[in-house]
Amino acid sequence: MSAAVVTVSGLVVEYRYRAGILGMTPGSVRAVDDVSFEIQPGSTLGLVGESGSGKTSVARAILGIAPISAGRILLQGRDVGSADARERRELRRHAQMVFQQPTTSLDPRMTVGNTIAEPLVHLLAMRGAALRARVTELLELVGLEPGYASRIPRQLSGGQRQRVAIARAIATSPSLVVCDEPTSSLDVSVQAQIINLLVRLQSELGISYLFISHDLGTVRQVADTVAVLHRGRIVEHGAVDAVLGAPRDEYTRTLIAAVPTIDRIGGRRAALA
Amino acid sequence: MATATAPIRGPSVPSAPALQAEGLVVEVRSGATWRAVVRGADISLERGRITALVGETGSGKTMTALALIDLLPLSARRSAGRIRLGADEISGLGSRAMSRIRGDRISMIFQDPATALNPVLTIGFQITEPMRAHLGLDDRAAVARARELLVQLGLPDVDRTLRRFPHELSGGMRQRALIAVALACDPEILLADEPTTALDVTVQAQILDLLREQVDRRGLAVLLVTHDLGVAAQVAERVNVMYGGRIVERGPVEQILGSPNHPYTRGLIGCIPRVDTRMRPLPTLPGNAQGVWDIPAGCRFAPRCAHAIDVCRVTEPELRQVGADHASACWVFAGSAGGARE
Repeated sequence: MSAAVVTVSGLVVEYRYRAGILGMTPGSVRAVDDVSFEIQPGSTLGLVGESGSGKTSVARAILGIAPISAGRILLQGRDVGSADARERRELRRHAQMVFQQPTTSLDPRMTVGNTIAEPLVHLLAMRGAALRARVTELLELVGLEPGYASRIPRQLSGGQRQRVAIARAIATSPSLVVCDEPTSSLDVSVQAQIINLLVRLQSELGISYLFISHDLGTVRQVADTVAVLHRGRIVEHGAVDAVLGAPRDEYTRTLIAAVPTIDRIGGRRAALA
Repeated sequence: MATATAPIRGPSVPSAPALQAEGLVVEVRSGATWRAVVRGADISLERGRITALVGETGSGKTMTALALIDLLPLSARRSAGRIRLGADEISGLGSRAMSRIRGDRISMIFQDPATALNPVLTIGFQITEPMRAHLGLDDRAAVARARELLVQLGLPDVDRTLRRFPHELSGGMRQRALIAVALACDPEILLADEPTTALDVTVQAQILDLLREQVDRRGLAVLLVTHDLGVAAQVAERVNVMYGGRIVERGPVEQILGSPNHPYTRGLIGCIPRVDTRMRPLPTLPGNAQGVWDIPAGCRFAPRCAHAIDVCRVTEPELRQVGADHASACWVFAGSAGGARE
């Protein structure tokens, strides 16, 4: 049909739980309900929603770590749901993730060099000089001096840690990187640096991003298309300028109106008047 | 809507500050020595006004707030500064007298209501406890007052909420409950440290509305500590921008956001990602604020500043007037080199 990097159609993610005395009462909760979208090569889909909207579950399903209860996910043309162990390994090369908290997503005892080398060793079986050269190249790509390879996360600032996490994510030259709130834990002045880095890497390497965020301002800067999730369903989906500039859905409008911008001084004061 | 039994103070004409701190210095133990993380901050809060204290990680904003109510961690101390609450000097008070003031005349709300509330006590107990302790109310009177407070704060099904435990409430409801605890004794001052940071944007908007409403209704004086200039823009009248343990710019919110003077304030405003336009690349501030404590002399922002001149690296600038009620600490834009505009 198309050469989309990832195609999600009719995705349903349900989690089962057991409640009651001795867990006798089984139940299930539908976190993602009939979600469909695709991401083209070298482009970014912003997935927007509040906590509990299902955005992280969508990401986890794509990475093969959440149950696909119904629907289908094609990653590089291969079905994620029916992949066997060997295929899953192969898919992991192609889809990587950057998490919100670099503090917890990096192993505190592992050097930066080893952190970045890990996916290269395990997924591409790289060794020796080639491995070292690739690690240096990746550090350079994310704007860190080669000397950082011997440091451990504690010796880095929050922004530098997130650069390391990004270097690890792009190490195997994936076609898709899922960014789950990658700038939310950073200071504003550092946020902008990381956003610029992600945008630059995309234009240099042609990566596609699934960019998950509750921050509409950040999404506007990085996304080509946006899907707004509310209670597990996509309520609005389209080009970023259309969705954020002229939203049609009621919930999208509520979301945009709630963003505290510096352009509406006294916005919440006026809301009460 | 029912009103509280507490006296309702209308918004007043700003007169004497409700709380005034001068020359606050807070030091943190670092090995065998003490290192100043707040280096001479002045804070003034007025009744019926929200004053924002804006800064990034490590700017000293939370330490400033904690120093005001003598709640600094054990590894920190206030080594200089005077604090007046209304007409009363409170900087020299002992811990017992301060604990009477906290909760009674000054209250505080924190970022994460999940950890600020006691998980094993009901919401009702936590709201009525300060009323019994500080106001000497009996159970009946305290519960009646708690009910009214919850109604005022928009919590549904009040009787049921009073019997609930924090984990049974959503994040937004927990923050409302925490505000109820803070307002239980009808304080004059409320210190709010990142009160909406852990919340979704739509819930954040509701909580900011609520905060504003309570300020207008009660004449509360609020110090809003936040990293988010957007949040300050929504509700605050005045903004203090903190960097490297100092207030580098302060003034009315319209001035700070509309015609900022300090290069740090301008840089910070410039790198906020906007919803209405795409900027490629986004303007950035070089480096980060974490190395600020290694700078031996001069303006702490100088190494990241595109406008820095020689004097900036030698002598730290003081706050100077740059407009009506607007001050900035910058040799280039507010100092003699650039010439104060007024």
